[in-house]
Amino acid sequence: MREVVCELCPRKCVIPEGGAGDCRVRVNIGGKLLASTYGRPSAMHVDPMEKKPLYHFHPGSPVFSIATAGCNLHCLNCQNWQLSQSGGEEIEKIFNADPVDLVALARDQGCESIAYTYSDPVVFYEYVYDSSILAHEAGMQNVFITAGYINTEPLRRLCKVIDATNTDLKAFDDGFYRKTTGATLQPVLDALVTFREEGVWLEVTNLLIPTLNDDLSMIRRMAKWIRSELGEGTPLHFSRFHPMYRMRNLPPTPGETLDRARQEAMDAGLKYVYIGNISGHMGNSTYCPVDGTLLIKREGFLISEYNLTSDGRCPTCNEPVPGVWQ
Amino acid sequence: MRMREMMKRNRHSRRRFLGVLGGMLAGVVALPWTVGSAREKKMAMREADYYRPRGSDE
Repeated sequence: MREVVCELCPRKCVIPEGGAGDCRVRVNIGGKLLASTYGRPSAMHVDPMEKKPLYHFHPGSPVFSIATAGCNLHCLNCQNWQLSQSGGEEIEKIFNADPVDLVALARDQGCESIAYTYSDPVVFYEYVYDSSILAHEAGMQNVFITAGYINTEPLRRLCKVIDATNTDLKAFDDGFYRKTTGATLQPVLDALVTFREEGVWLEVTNLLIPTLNDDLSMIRRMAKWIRSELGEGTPLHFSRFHPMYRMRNLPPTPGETLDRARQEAMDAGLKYVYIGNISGHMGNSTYCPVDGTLLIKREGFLISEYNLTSDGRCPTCNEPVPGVWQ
Repeated sequence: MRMREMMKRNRHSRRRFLGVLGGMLAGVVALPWTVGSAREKKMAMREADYYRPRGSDE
């Protein structure tokens, strides 16, 4: 019996011959660990960059977004559960797109960037890595949308070939992570710091779930940690929860909860705090933290006003706004 | 009687012809799937970058 130990994520699955890891898509065949969904995405769409959500990275640009089956988390409220909680052989729709094909498809769709998203691209690591190298050679950018549950060594290597990330920080509480996602908190915090150290553009998302992670004191601690470890200019997105998958017993997040969380994070010193999944909210837009000038007005995923200077500054007070602006 | 026999023979011929034609069309339609699945077999899975045999550093 030729067992292998996967060293990609903190689970460190011991996988018997013929078996798969917890993520379902890394399989042991003949004592070799293989990435079974390499070149086999099950979702391919063109999305606006704001949907990732990334608000300070090439705003308004279309991004070619892909995912394969599998995930190394098991979030009870996963909105992509049909994809994430399946193995490669359980998915009906599989495209054939090796890294060369993928870059060509993205270019054909008029996209200058590729997002590895929907499920968690940690589990299709090699596909991301190889595609990202080719994307760079073609003058394109790579965006990594993840829960951040990955070991430091593979992450540092990946950071050399990706350009931006939105990473979920689901709660500032290890108990929440264990009960609701099956993962733990510390590796996610380590991943966030690694992204910052490696110079990858970083935005953070926290999905607020009523009664589970909406405690204001926890939100305050989280915001203070982000400010001290990642920087006060790190965009933080609070996202509204909707009943989903195995968490249909809870109501959607009230608007007041999102408003209070946003205020708490701004009081803790974060300069760019957004509200997501509520269209038309002022928290969708970007304001100058110095003089309050409306810099970017968003309505849903669409930009209706763009007032930044060409070098990414406030047009009235010249305050630089951190980001990667076109 | 002769006419009826002749028509019968023509009906059989027509059916045979349509059967052969149908079979040929089915073969042509199935060709992309046949080629596609052969191509799939050629797309080998990529070996993972981060793993070790169990016991290699225990």
